Amino acid sequence: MSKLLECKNIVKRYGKKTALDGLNLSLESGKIYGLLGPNASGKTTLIKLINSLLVQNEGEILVDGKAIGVESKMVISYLPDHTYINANKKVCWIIDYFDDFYSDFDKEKAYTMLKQLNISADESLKTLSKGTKEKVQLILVMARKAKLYILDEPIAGVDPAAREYILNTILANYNQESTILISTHLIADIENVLDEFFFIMNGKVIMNDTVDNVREEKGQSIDELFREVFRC
Amino acid sequence: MLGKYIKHEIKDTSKIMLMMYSIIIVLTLLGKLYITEIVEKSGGNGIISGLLIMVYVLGIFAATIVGSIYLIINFYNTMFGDTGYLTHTLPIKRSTIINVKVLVIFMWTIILSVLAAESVLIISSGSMGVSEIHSEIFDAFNQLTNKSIIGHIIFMALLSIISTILEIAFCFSIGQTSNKHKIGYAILAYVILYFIKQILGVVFMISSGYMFESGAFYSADDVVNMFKSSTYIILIASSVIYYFSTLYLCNKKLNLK
Amino acid sequence: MTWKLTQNKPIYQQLAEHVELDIIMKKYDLSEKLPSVRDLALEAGVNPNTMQRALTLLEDKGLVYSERTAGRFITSDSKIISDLHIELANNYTELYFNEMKSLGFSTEEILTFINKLKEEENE
Repeated sequence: MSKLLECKNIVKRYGKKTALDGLNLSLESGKIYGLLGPNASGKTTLIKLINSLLVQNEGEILVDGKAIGVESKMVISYLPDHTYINANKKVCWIIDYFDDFYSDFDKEKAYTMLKQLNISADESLKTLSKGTKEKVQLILVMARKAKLYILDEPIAGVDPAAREYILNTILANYNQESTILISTHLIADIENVLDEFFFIMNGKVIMNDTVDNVREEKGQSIDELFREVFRC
Repeated sequence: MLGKYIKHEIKDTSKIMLMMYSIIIVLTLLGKLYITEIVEKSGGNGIISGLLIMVYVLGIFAATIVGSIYLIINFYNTMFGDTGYLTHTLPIKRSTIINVKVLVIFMWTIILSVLAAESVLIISSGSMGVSEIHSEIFDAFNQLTNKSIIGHIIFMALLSIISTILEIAFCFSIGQTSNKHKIGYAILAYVILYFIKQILGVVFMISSGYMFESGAFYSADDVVNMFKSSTYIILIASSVIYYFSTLYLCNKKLNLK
Repeated sequence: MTWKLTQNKPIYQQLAEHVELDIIMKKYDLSEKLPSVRDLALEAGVNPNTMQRALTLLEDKGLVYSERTAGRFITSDSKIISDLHIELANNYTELYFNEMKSLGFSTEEILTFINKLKEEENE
């Protein structure tokens, strides 16, 4: 199976601080991966690099065999961990926006998902609650038929019912040809959804395995393993 | 893709800009009406006229300033603010994004300047009809011996608008490389550039003074040509530098929060 | 509602057990078609690959079989299911028995507990 994403020896410095210190990571198609680590471990930096929002000091990132650029942006669907749409805009505006610029965007699917949540397309984003806003942003991302979905903290800061909806949406839109990378520190909630996980600490991948392997060999859940490995 | 992006950029910024344009147009119409109906016919009340002039002037100022500031803030927010995430993950080349944004800002600015200038012209020519004003200007133009100078002035004005837009974009690009003081460093960059320009201006003055003393100029035309060419060189050179530096910074040193 | 899963056992094993239980409890009839892997995974709230692994496990046990394009079906052999039923019963019994033993009770005492329940049932 060819690698959808390859990160080779990535180094990223912010002034004197080194956020990523020779990080190596690769993802295959058809799997759901967890990018797990405490705050300031380098998760968000890595995600920004893959999305061309930052440039690395050293190392190479290849998406589907090609360097980061316009082509990689076409096949990556990214959900940032904060609101990235102008709050004054209406839901229908952002749907049309995505439809215009992303050829893999499924407008009907987006509207169906919105209807399921009773979100009217005519509402402006600022009138929506935080949880609803997150769901809208998630719907936009998942309504694309991308090859790589990158979700940065998709369930942080939302209530348990919203969490279930979000995880359900992620699962429902998952398909064999695409890969999902979920970055989070809420491990217990998403463990059941992951195929494999990466533990990131101090800008490096310190562990990489499948969820079931860890449970079989260590008799621990990833959440328990995480607490053990990252004990303060 | 390019066409769609241009369409979106224009639509996004149109609401506020059209509002500013309407303010200018309405103020002009009302002002003209007041002048032609009330002032000309019944002399008008000095105090009220004075107040209305103030309102007009403030209104035009406000519309142009608010319009310009809005464009600047919108540029910053969509490029380097929270919505920058949306902008920079679009499958469009960064150079295209910058080109479109700069050109759209240029377009709005030109319209704003022209409207404001026309408005002042209309109001300050009292009760003259609009077509009267324009034909008088046209006549004055025809009496010029060196008509091309008007073309040069207009061209220079356009160049300096582009140069200013690119300069602001450049300063923002520098500022955004910082983690904590994005706006602060942008302002600092602008101030430094301002001082550099001042110094260059003084250097220019002194060196042209020397040139004059040593008899390098044979006629008034020479002087004009020198000023003209040096202004062009500076405007074009700085625009080019600003543009490519902005491009470089956005491609290699992008640092979104 | 997602299926109840514990933290320290492999997920695919738990999923297999859940489906086994469903089969024994006659949620699915003999030869009935199972929902697709995706649908089951969604219902359970788990990764489809993990559900796939669970169903493969059941295939190995002979509880289900897959027909290339048609999907997965429950076996038509009722003996396999009743055997499984017995196996589960034995497992539960063993579990209970061992737990009671570790509490210190003898086999006779354990039988007393069970008979007491039997009597309460008859009342």
